[in-house]
Amino acid sequence: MFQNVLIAEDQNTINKGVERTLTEMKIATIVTSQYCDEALLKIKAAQNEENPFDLLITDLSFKADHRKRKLTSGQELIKAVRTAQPTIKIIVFSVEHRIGKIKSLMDNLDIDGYVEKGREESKELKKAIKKVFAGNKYCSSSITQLLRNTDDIAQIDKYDELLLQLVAKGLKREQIATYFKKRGFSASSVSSIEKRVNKLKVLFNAKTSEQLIAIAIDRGLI
Amino acid sequence: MKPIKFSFLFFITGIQLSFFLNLSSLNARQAQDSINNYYTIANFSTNTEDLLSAFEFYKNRKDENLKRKHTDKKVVEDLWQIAIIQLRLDLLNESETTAIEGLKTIENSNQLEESFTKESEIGLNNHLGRVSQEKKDYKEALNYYKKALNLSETLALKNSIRQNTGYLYYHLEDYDLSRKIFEDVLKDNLITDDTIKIARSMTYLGMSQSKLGIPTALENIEKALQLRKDINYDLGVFDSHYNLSEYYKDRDDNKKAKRYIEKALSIAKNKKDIGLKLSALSSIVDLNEDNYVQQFKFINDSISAARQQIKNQYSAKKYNVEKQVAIAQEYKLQKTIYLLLGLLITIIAIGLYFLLKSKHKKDKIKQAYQNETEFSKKVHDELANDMSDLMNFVAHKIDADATEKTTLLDTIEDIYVRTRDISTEKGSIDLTNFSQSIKHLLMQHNKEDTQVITNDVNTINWEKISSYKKIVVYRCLQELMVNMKKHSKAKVVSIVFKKVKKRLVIKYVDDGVGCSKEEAKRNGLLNVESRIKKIDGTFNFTTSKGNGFKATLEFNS
Repeated sequence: MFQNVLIAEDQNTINKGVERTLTEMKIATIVTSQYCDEALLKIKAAQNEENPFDLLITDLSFKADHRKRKLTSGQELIKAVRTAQPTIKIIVFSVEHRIGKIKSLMDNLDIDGYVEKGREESKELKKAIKKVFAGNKYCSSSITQLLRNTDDIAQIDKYDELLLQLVAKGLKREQIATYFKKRGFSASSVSSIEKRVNKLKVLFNAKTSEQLIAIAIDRGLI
Repeated sequence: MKPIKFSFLFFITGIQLSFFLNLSSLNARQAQDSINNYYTIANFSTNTEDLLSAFEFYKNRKDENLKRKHTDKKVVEDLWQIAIIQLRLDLLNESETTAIEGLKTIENSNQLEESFTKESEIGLNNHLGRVSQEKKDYKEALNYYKKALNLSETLALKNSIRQNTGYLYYHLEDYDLSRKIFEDVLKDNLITDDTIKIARSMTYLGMSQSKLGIPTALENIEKALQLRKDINYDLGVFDSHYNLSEYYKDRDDNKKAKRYIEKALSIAKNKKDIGLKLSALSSIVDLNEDNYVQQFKFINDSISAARQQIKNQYSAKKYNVEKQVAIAQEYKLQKTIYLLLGLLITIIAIGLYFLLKSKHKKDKIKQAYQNETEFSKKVHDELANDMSDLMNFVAHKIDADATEKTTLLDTIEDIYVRTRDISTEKGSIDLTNFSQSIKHLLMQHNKEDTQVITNDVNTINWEKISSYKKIVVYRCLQELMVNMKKHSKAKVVSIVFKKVKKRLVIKYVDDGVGCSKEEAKRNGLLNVESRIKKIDGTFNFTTSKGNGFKATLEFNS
């Protein structure tokens, strides 16, 4: 299990809650910090003392107070920590619910886990720590569901738009295939065109090609 | 009447540059230098042809000097001579213009010595007084004399100008005033030993007295005559005889009057001066009692006067026309300049108005956005966190009945989620990766039972769109999506981005339950409209119960 954990969280009561959860998990050293700058300093100091932290649990939002701040958010702290100590594991613990923000944390800042604050937070935090310690990624169940949905967002690309236009003009599949071949499109066989049309039909809830075209026109796609 | 005026013109004193003053006697005719020669002609010749050649000389020299630098002094001198010649040629308006040009040259120059400036200003103002007097504009003449007098410092100069003022009043038959002036001038002249001047003021003091019937009149006139005879000043003697004739004529002693005027005529004949001859003869004719002669003289004088008047009028008109043309041109130029200036100011003002208006709009949008995000952060940091904290406290620290605890936790969680959603709704937007932000927004609403479809979000080049417009677009889409989530029960929602020239179009279509127009307005779609209007965009939607919802956002990039 992790031995040295740093908690960066500006609200003391929450700090205490997380601390308690970690103590329950028998983690030896638990250090808390209410400021991003201080958190970074502590991480660097621990490195110098050759007893580095192996996990950072951080919030995203930090209130401004009288102190002058260099790092003002969890995102900035994560970036700085990743440069100072690339091997450290990072779990974000936040009320952030916007999928875009969370996705960019995962894709761009390469965090190891995301736990959404809430009713199940201590349970989820425990799960997350275990998973991350085992070398896996973790994400709160509510967020996972959201993330799954985002994969399903359907983007009609230029190829689809062109295909719909050609179908709307009344071209036969063979003719469309020739047209695509001439222009060097990869999916230019009759079967791949047919597949694509069917996919669009499903997407738009259309039973026939005619209905699909009507819908496409109605929605302003072509 | 012309002849009399001729004589007056002759005796009204011009003032000359000190450089020339040593030449200001008739002897200067012998001067070898051509300049001096022309100077003499300009000031003393009565020969029209000579005057014209002198005029040409000075005019050419002035034009030459104008082309070169540092010649202001010479230009002023030339203009002065030209003005004198023009006066002597009876070109009154031309002479006036030339003299004024001279004064303007002085005014605009920075290379003239102070002494020269003063001297020439006095001379030119005196000259303008003479011209105005000839033009019978006596008020103007007095003004010019006054100006010249104020500038004069030496007694000699002052006296010459006052003498001219005296002639003016004498000519206007204000003999009281002229007598007073000549009296003063004579007093001052007597201090000097300038006999010519003493005799001159004495003569006209006598003539003023004569007109007023003061007994000492004759004494003064005769004394002056003696002084003039003593220095052989022919012109002065002529003047004395001429005035004595008038003195006796005024007293109906035609015999004596005739004797004196005949003496004057013989001097004129000797001097071969046609002007003087004409003056004398005109007086003689006055004395002739023959009816035909009188009639002839009357008609002749009338015609001369009429001709002179016509000439003056013509000249004045011509001069005015030229002046008006010049003024009109200047006015036209000015008008053009003002017009351009006005146009420029208008354009700037309009530009500024729109700039400020658009800046104001931008600022307002940005300000609102800033307020929103600050507010969002506050809700997020303070409320949402506390709610989450409270929830944990209740879960772990409160000892209560299990069902009651669950109910309590459910309630707190509901409040927590709503708090968080409020915060989310007004949260900050990543404007630099804007297409990503839009995708995330749409993802948020993509559920298992609600399929969100878009085309390429980058159909619109978001990098080229100002951030305040992005804020508006984002909030509008957010509003539409939230509305969709709350009310529509839609299965397929599509958001299509199109670019038509500079016009950017976002089309939202869902296949949900739709709503009535009134409901749509109640559901916050009015917000969308007011938002997009702030960036001069439009919002149109069509919906009805059971037929889904279609909306179009349009704005310029």
